[in-house]
Amino acid sequence: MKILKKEGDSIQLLCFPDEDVEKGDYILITDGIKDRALISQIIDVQYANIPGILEDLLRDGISESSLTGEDVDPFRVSSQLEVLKDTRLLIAKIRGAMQNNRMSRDVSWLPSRIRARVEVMSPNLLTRELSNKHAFELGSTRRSAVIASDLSALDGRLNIITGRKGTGKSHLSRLLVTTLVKHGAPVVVLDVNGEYVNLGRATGSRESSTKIVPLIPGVNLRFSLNEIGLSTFLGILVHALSLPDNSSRVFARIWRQLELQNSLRMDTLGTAIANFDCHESIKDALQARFNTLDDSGIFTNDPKAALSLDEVFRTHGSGVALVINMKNQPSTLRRITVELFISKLTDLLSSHNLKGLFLFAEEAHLYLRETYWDDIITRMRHLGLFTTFITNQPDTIEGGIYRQADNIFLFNFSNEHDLEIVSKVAKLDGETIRMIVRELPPQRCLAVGDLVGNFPMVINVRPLEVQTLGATRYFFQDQIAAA
Amino acid sequence: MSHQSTTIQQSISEFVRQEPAIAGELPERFLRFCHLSIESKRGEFLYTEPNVTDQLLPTNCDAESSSLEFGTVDDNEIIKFIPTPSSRPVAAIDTSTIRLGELEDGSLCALRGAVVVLDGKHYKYTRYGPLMFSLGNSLLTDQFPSLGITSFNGVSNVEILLRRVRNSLERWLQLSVTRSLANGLILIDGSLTAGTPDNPSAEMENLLGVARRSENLMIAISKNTQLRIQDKSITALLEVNSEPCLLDVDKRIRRQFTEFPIQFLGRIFVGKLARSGFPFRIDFDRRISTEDCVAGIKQLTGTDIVDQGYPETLRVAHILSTFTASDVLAIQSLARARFGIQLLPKIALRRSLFGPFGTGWETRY
Repeated sequence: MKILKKEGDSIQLLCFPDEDVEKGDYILITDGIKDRALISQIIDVQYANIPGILEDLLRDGISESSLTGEDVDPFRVSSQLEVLKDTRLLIAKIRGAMQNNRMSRDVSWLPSRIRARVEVMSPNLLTRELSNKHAFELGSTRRSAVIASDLSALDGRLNIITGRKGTGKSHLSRLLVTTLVKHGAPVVVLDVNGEYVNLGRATGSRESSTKIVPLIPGVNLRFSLNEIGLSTFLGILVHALSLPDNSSRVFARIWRQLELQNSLRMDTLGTAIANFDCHESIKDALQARFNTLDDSGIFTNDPKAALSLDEVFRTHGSGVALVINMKNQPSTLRRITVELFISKLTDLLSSHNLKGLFLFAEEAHLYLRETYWDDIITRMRHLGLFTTFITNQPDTIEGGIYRQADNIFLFNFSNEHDLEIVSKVAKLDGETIRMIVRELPPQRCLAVGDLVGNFPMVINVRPLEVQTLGATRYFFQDQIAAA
Repeated sequence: MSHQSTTIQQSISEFVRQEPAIAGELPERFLRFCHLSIESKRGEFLYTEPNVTDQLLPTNCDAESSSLEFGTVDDNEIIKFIPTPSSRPVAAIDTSTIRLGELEDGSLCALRGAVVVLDGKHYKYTRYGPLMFSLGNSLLTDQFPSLGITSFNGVSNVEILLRRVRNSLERWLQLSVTRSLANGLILIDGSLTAGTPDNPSAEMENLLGVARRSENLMIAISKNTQLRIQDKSITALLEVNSEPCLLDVDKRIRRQFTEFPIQFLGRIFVGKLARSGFPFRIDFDRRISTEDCVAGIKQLTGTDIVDQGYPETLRVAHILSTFTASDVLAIQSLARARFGIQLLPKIALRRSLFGPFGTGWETRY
């Protein structure tokens, strides 16, 4: 490879046919005399504009149709010509530099065009400055070189996994969940498609790990009113069930009366609402909401049947993932469940009963109320709730969240509108995203952020050794497998 | 006849007559000349031109360059014809050369030739080269006679030498095709005028003789004739005619030239080969009757595609033999890789002195 041109943070390289490079690969341009190197990433591969190539191709075109013949080429010039015709132009972005074998951000110098050594760079050089206390294998490059990272780069961070349907988002998410649990971290997964419930089972095994706890709202995910408390319950009524202010004030009075009487249960709450002296319309409003909550089965009067999050996290101190399976549930119940859960988690984190927690939210727009978005990236983050959003609809996540995200994993998008949205990522230029993301094959993503040492990387996500559900189901499975 | 040349003739004969085409071999003398001349320059610097294809100027100009006196042309002199389909094979030969850059003593050059044969509706070709060689004052003159190039009188320069090497390959190709083909129409680029050091009469006479014996009709078509009438090309004589036609201008031209050294071995016509096509100077073997010449042209235009008045077979031969800019790059890189020649951009003196205020082409680069 040879340097052709540099403009701003872009560098153009000439690449000859025997050199195997692809979009996303890192190139190290070492200037031997200055003892430093530029780190650049290929974002596009084009044909080099060789003088006279049009004439050559036209001539070949004529030969292919009505003209046949042979060349007597004793010097074998045609082999050189083939090399020229297949010479590629690599468009690369300068991502950083190396000085005395250490990473540097000083890219304000030019390597020698004649002397510089241009070669493909190992990804390990890029992530070697990450901590390796909680190292894990994220995936591999196209050349099967392992891309290692460290979980500390997820700690305290906001993450987004997005991409078109069927490209491998959930697979990566599951990889992160299982890795976090393996390293002792508490994780909560808001699972709208039931894709995570079998994460505890190794492939081909019927045994299930106790570290993955699937919870179904109303079945094994139930709460007692005492544990929930008024503010959380009121939050559900107001935010999930749209209870008006007047009615919520009446409800608060009813709740406090029952608390004073030490008889806060679902049955007594229902009776109290029915007998409370208030305007009929308020009573009707409260009654209707209460019936919805009661029918959901998510509340119980039996303390033993109620889930104590505090206890769950205490007993699984070496790591646990609570998978809230919301598959086939009505949207109201999903909202109720998420309100309850986040509220409880916030309490736990505020009281320092939990150091921190990783929340994985699949298609969060289906159940997360608007005010939570800002809350999650500001207040809750400081409390220790570190969220990963997973979605195939990038426009359902606000632009502000893209700009504040610490790690973004972009799977394939071909739609211009989607590409435009994801190109707002603060840590990477839009041109790179558009050039690389558009052509990513399934199971390969462009990772940007702390997890990859802030060097955007194209990663073949590591396969999982656990059973997974949620992969897109096909009718013509046999044909697809054959293909 | 040596065993080598017999093999070549057999190959070309097979190329012409058999399906598929079989490429002929180049004479060993050419290859030896190329290798020796370039091997002697191993490790030398080659000063490359900024845009080498700019020098791709027509090199096959007529030997004559003169403004002629010409009377009026009577309409009766114009021979109109209707194309007639024929089974006669059509073959065309063309060559081209290029200077790839300057060596310390001379130039690095390349040569390429192409033979195209029209077989039914299909064109078959054999392309020779590129052949890379060096030329200069200290060139291997002992190799020149082996190429059929006569010794020099006076000072030679690279342009002259290059033209002679090119003519040598072109004659070899023409002769090989003429010997292999029978009752064919053989198209060559240029004219049948001989008698210059670059183009000795004996060789041309020999070529025409071989063609006659094998009943081939040699047709030379010139894109750039130097024969002019009051500053206008002689082809202007047929500009007003739209139908295919020929005009015999031979007598009028010949009487204005002395017999020596230039020899018009061809009968000179101006011809328009297609309706609304361009007119060209066309030379036929002088010993062939006008009737046979006209019959040949009718058969050519009825057999080959004659788009814009120029036979497709010759057009393809021209396209195949020319050098593109990427050919030049490939040959230069080969010279570096195989012969250790070091490439350096030629310093544009005008540009160095005057920068953007120069007036030559090099100021563009």
